[in-house]
Amino acid sequence: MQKKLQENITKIQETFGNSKELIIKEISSMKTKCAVLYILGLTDTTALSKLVVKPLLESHIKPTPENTPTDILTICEAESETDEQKIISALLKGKGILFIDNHPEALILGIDKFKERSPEEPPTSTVLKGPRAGFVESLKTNLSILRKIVATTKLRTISTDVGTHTQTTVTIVYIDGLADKKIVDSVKSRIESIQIDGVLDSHYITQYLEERKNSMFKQIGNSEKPDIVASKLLEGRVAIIVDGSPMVLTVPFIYLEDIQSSDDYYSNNSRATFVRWVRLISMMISILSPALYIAVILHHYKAIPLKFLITIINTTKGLPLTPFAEILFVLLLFEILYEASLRMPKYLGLALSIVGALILGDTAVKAGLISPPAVMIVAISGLSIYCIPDQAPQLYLLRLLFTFAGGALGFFGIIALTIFFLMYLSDFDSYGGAYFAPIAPLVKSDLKDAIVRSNIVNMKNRPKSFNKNMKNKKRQGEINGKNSIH
Amino acid sequence: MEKTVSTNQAGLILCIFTIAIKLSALPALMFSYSGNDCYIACFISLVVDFIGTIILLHYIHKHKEKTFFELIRDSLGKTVAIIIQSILLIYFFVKCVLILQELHDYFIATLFEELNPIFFIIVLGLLILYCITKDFRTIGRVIQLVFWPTLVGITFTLIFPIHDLQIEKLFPIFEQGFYPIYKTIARTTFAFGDYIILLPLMGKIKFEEKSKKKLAFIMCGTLSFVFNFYIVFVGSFGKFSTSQTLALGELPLHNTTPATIGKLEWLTIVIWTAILLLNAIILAIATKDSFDTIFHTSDKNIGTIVITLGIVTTLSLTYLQLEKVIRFLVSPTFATIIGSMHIAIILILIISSIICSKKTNCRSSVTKNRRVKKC
Repeated sequence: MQKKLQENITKIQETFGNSKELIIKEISSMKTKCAVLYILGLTDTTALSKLVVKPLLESHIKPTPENTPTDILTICEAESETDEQKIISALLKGKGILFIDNHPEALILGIDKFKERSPEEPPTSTVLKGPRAGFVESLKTNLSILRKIVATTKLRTISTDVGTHTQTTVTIVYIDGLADKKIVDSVKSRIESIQIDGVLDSHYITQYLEERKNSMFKQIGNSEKPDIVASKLLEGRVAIIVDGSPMVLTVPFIYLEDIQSSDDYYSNNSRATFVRWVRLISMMISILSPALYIAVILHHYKAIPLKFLITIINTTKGLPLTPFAEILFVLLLFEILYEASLRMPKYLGLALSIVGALILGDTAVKAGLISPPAVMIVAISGLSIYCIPDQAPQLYLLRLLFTFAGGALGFFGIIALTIFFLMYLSDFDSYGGAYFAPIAPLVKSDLKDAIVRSNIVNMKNRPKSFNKNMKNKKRQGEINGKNSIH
Repeated sequence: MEKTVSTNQAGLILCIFTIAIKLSALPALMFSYSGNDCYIACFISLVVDFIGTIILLHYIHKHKEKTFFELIRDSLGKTVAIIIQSILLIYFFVKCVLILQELHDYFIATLFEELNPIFFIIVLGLLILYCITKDFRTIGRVIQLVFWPTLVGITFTLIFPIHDLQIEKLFPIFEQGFYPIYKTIARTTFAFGDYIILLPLMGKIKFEEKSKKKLAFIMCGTLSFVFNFYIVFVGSFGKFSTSQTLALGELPLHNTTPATIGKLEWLTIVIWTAILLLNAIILAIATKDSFDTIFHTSDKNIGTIVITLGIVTTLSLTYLQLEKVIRFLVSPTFATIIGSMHIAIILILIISSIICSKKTNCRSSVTKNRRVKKC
């Protein structure tokens, strides 16, 4: 920046194309010309007047960048900066800028204020028991929520601005001493290497962090719930918070994370274990039920008990579609209903349910277009998908692929495709964590919190599935002195 | 990341590899040679297998840093190493094709009325093409995932027939003397000697404190399971055992208990199909591993394509000829060759280990002498 105040103002004005949203308030303090710059709507003007302008006007000391923050201003956050790009970036993020004549430094004032929603329960992960707070779109708020839960001095953050035009702040959060430094460095270097116009949500970052770019499988963990992210940090994982997104990312990710839910830890361990098995079985039902149905109907009718076979024959008699086409038609119908219910205005939702359930389902069966078993199978599969909502996108695709395999090659096709996917996923390590850990490879100590959930009292060690070199293996204390984390 | 196989994974690979070929066509074949004494023949072969496994484990552990090829090369020379590795390549290849043919016949007998050969071979080819790009660690992990459901499925297969089991069918023993038992052992060598699968794993197993004991225990458990299966098989079918050419498929299908519960036998059939397929993949990976070791190709895809094409072509040429293939495998000449190979491999390993140890001792003593001189 220049020494002359006017030159600096002109430069900033030119950079912003003389925008009317750029407000410049020129004042004189002890006969020294000063100017406060901010962008309309992004800054707390009351705080600006009270904490910056008023103290400057009433000051009895000649302002300089050195003495202003300490001796004149009553604002807490004021940082000296000479780099033009950083000053502009701060302005864009709602900070106020104070220029003093004959000084090339500017003071960046932390008076940004955005309207943000309160941390409500996120719609993606509602719980019966346990904390209901969710992350919001503000990075600052999200960090403060996390700090409130993980109250340790070992909580570290590394921030980087990503996006040529959006300059979105991306912050890596981890607990020093628990997280693997290699993972932190790897995440940091990947984020720093991102070349993109703008980051509008954390999912933009997800795609850069993934090891297998074109894979349909989830490779990065995500959550809107602070308690979940905090628990992952305590296990030694690394969190990535993106400004403007309530979805916080976590690495490394292992498959069983999605089988687990925060509720599990707030309820009885036997119940939690049972529910985890239910989720696992529903995941299998969601993928395999249409495929198995079509396989037995087309290729292995001997595998169906006789009474059930007779029922199926009676209900499918005279259908215009082949069983394979029929199940594909019902699957497509279900997908259409799902997409429509997502995009449709809320007040039309009820009407859509009636249309979907009664008209399309019941009437199509009565009209003899589709059979009741096909509708039932697809409905059960569709319901099962939502026992693990985080896996829903890939389960939809897998269900379709398995249906094709079952239709074309029966059980053989299903088995071959299962082995193919198991080989594909077993070969996959996300930031040092095997996808199917702690089952494959077997990590005995981590089995206490896998498909079975032991009593928390017995879970004395932190997971080793993805952090084999962790020094603080015991869950109790050892981070910040005794019992720093309860 | 270093791609090593854990003890657990190695044990499960050994387990799956051991049971796969023994529970399909073999029981009926053994029965045809020695009647109800076949389970004794099986027991003797299993004991020999166990001894072979123990010896192999000892030397694999002793030279845990070296692969089998490296050990032979360092002790007996590169040419000998290449010849032995080539024999292993053929061995794994033949076993892989045999398993795939058994898989096909198993499908025909249980799952399909009619199986389109083109579909079957193309799908298998594609699956193998993909799977052999992976290593033993990956297949080990897959087996870890499917092991428990598999164990439950096969245990049910053994438990259900107990209701219909007639112990008297197992007796009298040695009715025709020991010769039929000897003949059975001598002719069915192709189905035994499963410790050979430890050779491609050599140098890749992550040995821990009790790894050797753990692996021996897993092998012992597996062999006990196989022996129990033969008892149940002969006890269930008696003199009709000869016609039960796909033992594990026939056992639940001819049993009343699973059908009463509700077509539960299909679960076993599906699980068994998966095991056969996994076993074929293990063998295909071992074949590709041997190919890469021998030819040292910089492009790993060459081995993948050559092995897959080889398997697909052989499978197509011998399609629906499992009986002929087995007849060839049990022919006195071929059976003797295979049996000799099983023993020879152990002997070669022992000799190589001794030579290698001597060389190492020599080198260390030479180094010591030099140090003394310098001093």
